[in-house]
Amino acid sequence: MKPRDMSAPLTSRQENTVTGFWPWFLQRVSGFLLIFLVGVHIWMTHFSGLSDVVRGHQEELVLFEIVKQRLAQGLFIFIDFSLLALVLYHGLNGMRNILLEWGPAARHAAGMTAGLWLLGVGTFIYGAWALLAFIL
Amino acid sequence: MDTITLSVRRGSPEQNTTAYWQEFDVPIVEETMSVLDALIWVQRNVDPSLAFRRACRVGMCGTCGTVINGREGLACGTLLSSAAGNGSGTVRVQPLRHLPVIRDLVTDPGLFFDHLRGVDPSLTPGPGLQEPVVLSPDSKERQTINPHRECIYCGLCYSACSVAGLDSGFLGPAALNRAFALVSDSRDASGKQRLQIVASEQGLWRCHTIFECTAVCPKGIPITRAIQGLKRKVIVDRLKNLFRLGR
Repeated sequence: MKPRDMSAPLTSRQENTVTGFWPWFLQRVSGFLLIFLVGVHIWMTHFSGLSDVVRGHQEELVLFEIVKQRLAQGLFIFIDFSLLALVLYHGLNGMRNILLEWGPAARHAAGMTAGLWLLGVGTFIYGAWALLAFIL
Repeated sequence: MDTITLSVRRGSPEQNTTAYWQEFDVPIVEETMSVLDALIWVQRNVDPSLAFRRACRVGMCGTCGTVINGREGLACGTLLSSAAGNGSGTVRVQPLRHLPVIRDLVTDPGLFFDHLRGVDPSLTPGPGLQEPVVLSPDSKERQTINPHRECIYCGLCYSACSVAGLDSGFLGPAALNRAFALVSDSRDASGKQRLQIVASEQGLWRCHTIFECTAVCPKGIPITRAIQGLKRKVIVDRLKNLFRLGR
């Protein structure tokens, strides 16, 4: 590796070309948020008593009407979309990290990252479409 | 006189010799006999062709790093009797991992030192500093950097690091530890540049905090703490940069 001239100050472009920071940082941020959101999701689905709206049923039921009613509220829409985006980012970014362990060439690593982004965006659109079916 | 079996991984890839294990019966001449003493005994009394590196024999130079019973250690700093106490009475010695073997226990440390050179391991004096520049021994800064300056560049951490084994482009624990010592030193004027070098896909972010480097360091350097410290510095630097751009 060619040693760098350390006495030369960094240009603003150099200062902003730190690689790998945001994927690493956002993996931790998304992981932290997921712990919170998954907790909210589990509470919402199983313990919030939303199924009580169905009168006359002894057991908890997950019915289309209940889900639709829940998703008509802005807060739940926000939580579910956030959950979808964060799960996809965290999972696929984690997958990218595992694949990078194999030490692919820079060209292959860039292709792999692009592929995972496409997969993520595609899956998000599909998931959003499924969620919108309840909302619209 | 008691003897132990010294099992040595031998071979010379450069001469297309297939690696093999060879066993030697070594007498325990003294209770304080080290693994290095045993290797020297074999070289002098049994097989002069046995190749290994050594220099100071007192754990200062870091030349005799090997893998002893599957764990990285300095041959001079590992007692033969304690190494043999693994139940089988056999001490298995093999070359450091993740570095090309030249012959027997001798590896080529070129890659290790290339990574070290990559972070520019020398201090860049800040402008206007007058010699001697003293950091008080009881200052927080001195106490932070002191343990990280103890590195003897033996390469044990690099050998123990699983990530270095997977990705030869990974800077490795020793280079990151050196970068941390310099970045934390107020006398060094290249902190920004050094942070920029280590904050790369094959630098800081590749470390998975496995702690193996810290576990095998013969100087007890908290290398993982250094790497985490660098990560914190980069996070602060990046976020500051982000908010500055936002204005």
